Amino acid sequence: MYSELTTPNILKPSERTNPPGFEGSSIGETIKMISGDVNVDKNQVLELKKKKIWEIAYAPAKAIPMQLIMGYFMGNGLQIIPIMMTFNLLISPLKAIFMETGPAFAPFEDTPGLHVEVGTAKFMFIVCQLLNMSIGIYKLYGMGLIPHTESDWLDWKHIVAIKESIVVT
Amino acid sequence: MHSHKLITLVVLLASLVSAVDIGTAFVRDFVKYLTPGFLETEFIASNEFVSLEGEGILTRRKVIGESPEMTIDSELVWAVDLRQFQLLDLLLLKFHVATNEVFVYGPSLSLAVIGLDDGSLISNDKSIGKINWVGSAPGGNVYAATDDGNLLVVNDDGTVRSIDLNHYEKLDPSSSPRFLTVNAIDYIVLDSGHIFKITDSVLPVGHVPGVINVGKSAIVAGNNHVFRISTDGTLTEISHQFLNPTIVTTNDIVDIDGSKLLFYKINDDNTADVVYTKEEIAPISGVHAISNDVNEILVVDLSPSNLKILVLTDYLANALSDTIKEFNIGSSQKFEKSIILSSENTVLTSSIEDSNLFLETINWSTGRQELRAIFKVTVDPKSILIVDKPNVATESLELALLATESSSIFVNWLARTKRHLSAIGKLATSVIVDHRLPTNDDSGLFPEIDFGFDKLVLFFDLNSCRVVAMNTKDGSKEWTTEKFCTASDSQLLGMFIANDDVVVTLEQHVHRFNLHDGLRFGPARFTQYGYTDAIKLKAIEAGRDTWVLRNGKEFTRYGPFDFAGDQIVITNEDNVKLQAYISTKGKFIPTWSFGSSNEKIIKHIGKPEESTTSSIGVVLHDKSVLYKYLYPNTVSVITSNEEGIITFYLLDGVKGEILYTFKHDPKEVLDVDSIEVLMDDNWIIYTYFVFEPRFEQRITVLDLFDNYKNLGGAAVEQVSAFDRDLKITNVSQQAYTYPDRIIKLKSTVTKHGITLKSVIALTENGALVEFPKWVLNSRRVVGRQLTKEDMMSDFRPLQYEPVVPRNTKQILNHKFKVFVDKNGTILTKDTNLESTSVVCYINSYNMFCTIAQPSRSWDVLGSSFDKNKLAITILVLIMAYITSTLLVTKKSLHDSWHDSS
Repeated sequence: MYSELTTPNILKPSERTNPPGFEGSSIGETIKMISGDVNVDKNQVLELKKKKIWEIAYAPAKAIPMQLIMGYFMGNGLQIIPIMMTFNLLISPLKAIFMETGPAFAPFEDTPGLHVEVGTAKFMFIVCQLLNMSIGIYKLYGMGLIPHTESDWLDWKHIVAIKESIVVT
Repeated sequence: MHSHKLITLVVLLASLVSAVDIGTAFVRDFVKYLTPGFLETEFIASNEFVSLEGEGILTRRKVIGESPEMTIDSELVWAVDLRQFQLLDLLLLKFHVATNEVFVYGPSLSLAVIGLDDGSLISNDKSIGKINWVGSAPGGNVYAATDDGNLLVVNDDGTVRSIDLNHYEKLDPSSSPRFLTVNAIDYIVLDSGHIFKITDSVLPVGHVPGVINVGKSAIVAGNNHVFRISTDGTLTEISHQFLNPTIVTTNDIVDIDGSKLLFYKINDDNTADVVYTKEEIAPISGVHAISNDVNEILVVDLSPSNLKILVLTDYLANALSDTIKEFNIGSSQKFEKSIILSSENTVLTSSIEDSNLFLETINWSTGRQELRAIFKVTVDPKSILIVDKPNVATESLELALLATESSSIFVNWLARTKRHLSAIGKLATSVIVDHRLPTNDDSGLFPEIDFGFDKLVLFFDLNSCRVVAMNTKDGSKEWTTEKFCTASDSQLLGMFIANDDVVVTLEQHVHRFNLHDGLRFGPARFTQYGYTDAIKLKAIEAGRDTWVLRNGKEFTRYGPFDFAGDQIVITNEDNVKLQAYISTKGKFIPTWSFGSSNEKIIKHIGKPEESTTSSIGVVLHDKSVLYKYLYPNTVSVITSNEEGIITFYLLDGVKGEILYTFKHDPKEVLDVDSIEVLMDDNWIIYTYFVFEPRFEQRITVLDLFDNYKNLGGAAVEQVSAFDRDLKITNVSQQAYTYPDRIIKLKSTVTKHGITLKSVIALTENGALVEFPKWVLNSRRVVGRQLTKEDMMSDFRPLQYEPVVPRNTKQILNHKFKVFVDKNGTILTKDTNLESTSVVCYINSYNMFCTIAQPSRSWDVLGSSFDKNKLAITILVLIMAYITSTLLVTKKSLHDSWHDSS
């Protein structure tokens, strides 16, 4: 890791010492040497890119503990702010899935040898967003806003009409 | 100019909002007092009288209106319900009107004093004893005679002082004592002829041989001699032998000689001279002198059918016989109280015939003679109906709203948006084109929204044999039909609304009237004798009604259409048996019957047709559903056996099966007549008064629950009750007591049944109490604290508490005194506002109407709603939006320049 720091490429002073501020032809060489050295360490760059990809993929997961804590403290009361926050919890992951998945990984798309990596990372990104969303769904459930028992569609249930009728005199 | 437009817009927005405020749409409540029938009246002015009415109501009324058709109206000044004294003999009550008080007395009431001005009860002293007579001396002092022959002086505050007359003589309880007032001292003249002077003590003045008549300061004695009490209190005799004298003034006496009237003047030496003789056409049977501050008249009774009035005012002043004016006042035979003399040269005679009050006024200055009457109203309890007022203006907004209301939510929303947009459009046109604000006359813009509070209460008036329609908005009479029967054939079998007409079925004829105006449709249809019921049925044509008359097992169609099949008519046969008949192929055949020989049927009612329910179940804490048992064809029956033990039965009206039964505790002794039953939604409430173990008003509440297996399904399909098992899964039952006696019950009705239900109970003391159904709940928690689960398992659950407390805030008629009786009916009807139900109570005494909002006014803007603030907020928001849009545009433009540079 960080090989340029652990094994620094130390430049030795040349025999002809130039006065400070003078840039001679050796500079070009030095630059050439540096870039030549980086080029040599392509695997390191790839590693870095992979790291970056996974960082992006897991970024939404970092919000999960905070969302859980917030959700817990928000309670299940049907106030406008908690409801809005909960809906935000549902909508922003959805938005992220559709709007951000592509752009977030775009810089890495063209990197050869990372296609599989990017694919899995995208998948993980979506999973993490879905995890976020599930907190929102759970909150809605807790608030009783998700119809899931017959009491939730009681209004659509009916009593049959009886053909016979009575008249009491 | 801009600011002016801005203010205009704000005002307009505010007025738009006001279009949905119904603060002034309905007089929330009123009572209209009717005339239950006059027993006795006493006029205190020519247009004002005190009367005893109905059963124990003392009123003061003012005669109002002049009607060409003889009938006039009266305005109630005050009324006192004498039934509050718990009297047994209300019809034997009598009253006497003095200067400032009315004194009421009777065999079981000692003496009650009521203020003449306001009807307030001044005193009701039972310790005075039985009073036989109360009267005023000419000087104004009030005296009372007790049953045991004592004379009492009655003070203004109702206290009495006994006069020790017993020392000399007891009063004869069968006759009224007579008084004279001379020099502000009262003298009592007894029938025996003894005369006493009443001061702090009683002093004998003298004796005359028997007493015929008393007037002014003179006495007509039994031997037709006239005696006078002079100013010093001594008794002197006029030395003339009269034939049948009447005292007109202290110095004037009129004597009757066959058909001749002899006018005498009394001289200072107590001799009498005839000054004028008047010959009448017929023998005179009696003469009566009446005077007030201004006038002096003589009522001459010529024969049973002819009554004449002679006005002596001018004659007495100038002794010229040609100044005597005379009038015939016709047939009234009543002499005493019924003729009163008013200050406007008017004589008024009143008479009561069959509890109707007839007034005849004659003005001798103008010669105007009028016969007027206040008729009693006798509401037939079987006939009372409440219906929506038929709307003639079909283009009204209300109908437009109703027309769209039945479609889907989306269509409704579209229609509403369109309506609002067109209103704004009209508003804009009005401002821009006409340069003016719309006024209330622009009905197209701000139409008067009718929320359907306008109902008609119909009843059959037994006294006048007409159907009367009263408006529930203010109690005014909407229309009355013509008189269509006489007292002998006014037996009502039934009255109902069929195909939007009023159908009145009497024992011998059937009549049909227009609901709009009470006009008759066609001639009456005569029926055979012997029918006992008129029954409204569904016709074979969908949505139409028809009716049949029943005589035993015979059903005869009188309605315009054939009746539909599968209709079960349940009849009560002599309170022993319920017999059901089912209609099939145009006839009725007997089906089930219910009853046993040792049980008498006390009450039987079916679930009302107008009952609406929105929610078919109660959601419990675990989100499971407790389904309501909403089978519509249930019949509640309460029977009583020989020991007086009552049993409640719930029957399936179609199959006759017993669905539920509950036998009361044999130790409970109850007033069988007090049982009232109410059915609605999935519950039954019945109330009864028990004598033992303690005097108590009890309320039993039953809530019926189902498992949805039997009654569930799509609403569109029609199934036969015979194909379903209709057993009730679960009945919960609890009983309560209430501090007042309940005599009637009714539940509120709303359009869709979303609003909670309230039970309206009428108590004996005249209060219409609104109990929310959640108070009368059979699922209250017994014997423990409410848990969180309990709280989530019902609407406003409560811990069981046997007493339902009296809550004055629940009394609907708290502003008005309502007179109640057993014949009255509570009526409820839905309005176009789901939150609101119209509630009325009507009987022969009065009609009271109000609105009930069991879930409060959740669909109406309250009066506290700040319309102006709302309008201003909207305006500020619009302005903020416009300003910020401008700013944003400017800024983005600026940014664009900045970026490209």
